[in-house]
Amino acid sequence: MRVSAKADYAVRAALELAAATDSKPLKREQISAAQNIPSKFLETIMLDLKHKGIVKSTRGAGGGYALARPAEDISVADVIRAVDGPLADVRGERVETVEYRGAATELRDLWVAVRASLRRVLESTSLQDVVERDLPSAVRELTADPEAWISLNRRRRSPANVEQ
Amino acid sequence: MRVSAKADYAIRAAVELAAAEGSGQLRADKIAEAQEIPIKFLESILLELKHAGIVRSQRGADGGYALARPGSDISLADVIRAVDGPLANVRGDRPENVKYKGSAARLTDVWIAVRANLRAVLEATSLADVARDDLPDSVRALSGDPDNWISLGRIRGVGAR
Repeated sequence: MRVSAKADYAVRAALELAAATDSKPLKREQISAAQNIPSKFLETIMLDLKHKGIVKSTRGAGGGYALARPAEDISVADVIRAVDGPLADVRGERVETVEYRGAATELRDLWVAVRASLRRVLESTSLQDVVERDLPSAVRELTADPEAWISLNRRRRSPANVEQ
Repeated sequence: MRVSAKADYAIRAAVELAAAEGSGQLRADKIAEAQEIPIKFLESILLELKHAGIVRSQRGADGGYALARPGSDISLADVIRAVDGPLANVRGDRPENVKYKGSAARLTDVWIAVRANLRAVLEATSLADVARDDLPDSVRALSGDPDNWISLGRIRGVGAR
């Protein structure tokens, strides 16, 4: 399960715009400098966000980018979809259309559950929530558990831990 | 959030082995045929699963592959980690190692919450659960909601709110 560089940058650029809603539009260079995003890559990303109705741009000396809607109405999921397509996919296909057979038949239900669990976090969190450091309580409950911050990779992979 | 072809194939191969538990070894070509997995790709996946201690192999006429531990003790998360590394990563980094600044400072928490929810599904589900069509209740509750079967990409992605 990977969050692509493009999705990560897009969310961060959108957050910069969310933090700047009361002021003038932001220039691409300002966003790029504030979040360490390569300027050329950012240009492509802003174009995607514009086509999907997440940001708007104005030309001219005072021009730049701003959110096209209020930051509280744009979820992190909206931004990820705008640049990366469906929130969850399996081998490039939407989870509800992947076909499995035999012993693996239940896997489609499993991926649907995975996507639902992703949505619970990413749909419920708006750009405004992140900027104001006021994440939804359901999200905070998940991050409040110290275990959530620990990588399980090494611990679980070692066969010694399997014998309980 | 992408499930790679490799992770998908690895899980399907492991589920086939879970379904065959107790009835000897399965040959790679049998697994490939049952799950329509390209044989060359499958062989490299089985090797990684072997190195991670998830499957074992036996040579000879009756040889083949079997799970190295009971299918009820191997979670889908174990299989994904064995072939793809950490369950969740952001630009190749573990979520807890990604640092953000300024207005994006809380984004780390969002990715941590995403991973916690992924774990809640993928750690809770064993290979045996899938092979027996018996997913955990918590997973069933998510997949049982018709709303969760609808792609929101088109509705939500175009600024329709």
